Amino acid sequence: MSPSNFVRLARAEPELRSTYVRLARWARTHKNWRWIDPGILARDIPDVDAISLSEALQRAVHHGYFRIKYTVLTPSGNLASESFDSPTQIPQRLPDRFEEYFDTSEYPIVAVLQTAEQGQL
Amino acid sequence: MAPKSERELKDLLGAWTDTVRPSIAQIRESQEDLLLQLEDKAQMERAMLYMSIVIGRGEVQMTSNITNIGAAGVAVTGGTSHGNITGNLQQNVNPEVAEVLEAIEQLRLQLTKSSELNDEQKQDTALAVQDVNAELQKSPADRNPGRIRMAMNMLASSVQLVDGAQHLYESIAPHVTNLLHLL
Repeated sequence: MSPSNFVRLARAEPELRSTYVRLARWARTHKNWRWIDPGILARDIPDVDAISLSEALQRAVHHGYFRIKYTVLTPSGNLASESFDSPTQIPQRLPDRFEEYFDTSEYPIVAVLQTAEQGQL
Repeated sequence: MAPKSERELKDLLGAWTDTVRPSIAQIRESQEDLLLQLEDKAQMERAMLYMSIVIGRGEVQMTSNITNIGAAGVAVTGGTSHGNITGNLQQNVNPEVAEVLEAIEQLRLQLTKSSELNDEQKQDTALAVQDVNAELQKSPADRNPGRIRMAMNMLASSVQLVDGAQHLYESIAPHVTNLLHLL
């Protein structure tokens, strides 16, 4: 994710400017990340509140800088390795990172953001 | 169903945060309950991003006397606790474990903010830290030494590339070895 995209967003969404400025700083050290886990991002910028951060990220999706995808946490608390366009598309069973299948309906759904580059988590 | 107003949406998200419980299954149920109240696509996306942030950051309020949060295996003995259900719940756990978890979080921050690691290495580092966190918070009988050993090996490789990280790693590794009986 290029930092300049967040700078553009800061101009397009002035009410979220301070959040995008913070995101632009974060992006400088994560330029080549194809996937962003909002949970990890949020822990890296604890000074940005969850309401503002979620709004800023959703507006970034709206402007086409990200695609939003959905997956679940595995029993060990990691992201499952596959992601889907809608929470309803998450299959009943998925493998964890050790190829052990688990029932996805019992685990929290999380959103992840995919940048322009394609690929699995 | 009409889109919610901004105030209504914020109230819904706040209510979710206040009422969600540290049972993995209940978190999922509460997510589905919240999503059922939203039809507007942008608001659903925002709600999912919000919940992902809250879960990842560890802002979920824990107020029940549940003694285990299911598959994540975190022991919560009661009272109010704040932690990361994905692997960083640090209160009401063994003090040594809590100390190690805190040090590992510092290591994660140091590694993921470094300029010496490339993005792939940073992502691998973040995953390794998640593995260590998840295993440490399981009861000793449920821990997977192989998984933790792989994660620690990965971190050992990463710290060699980052100025100052080796010292922090070396202060953590003996405690992890001891806690997980990896010898």
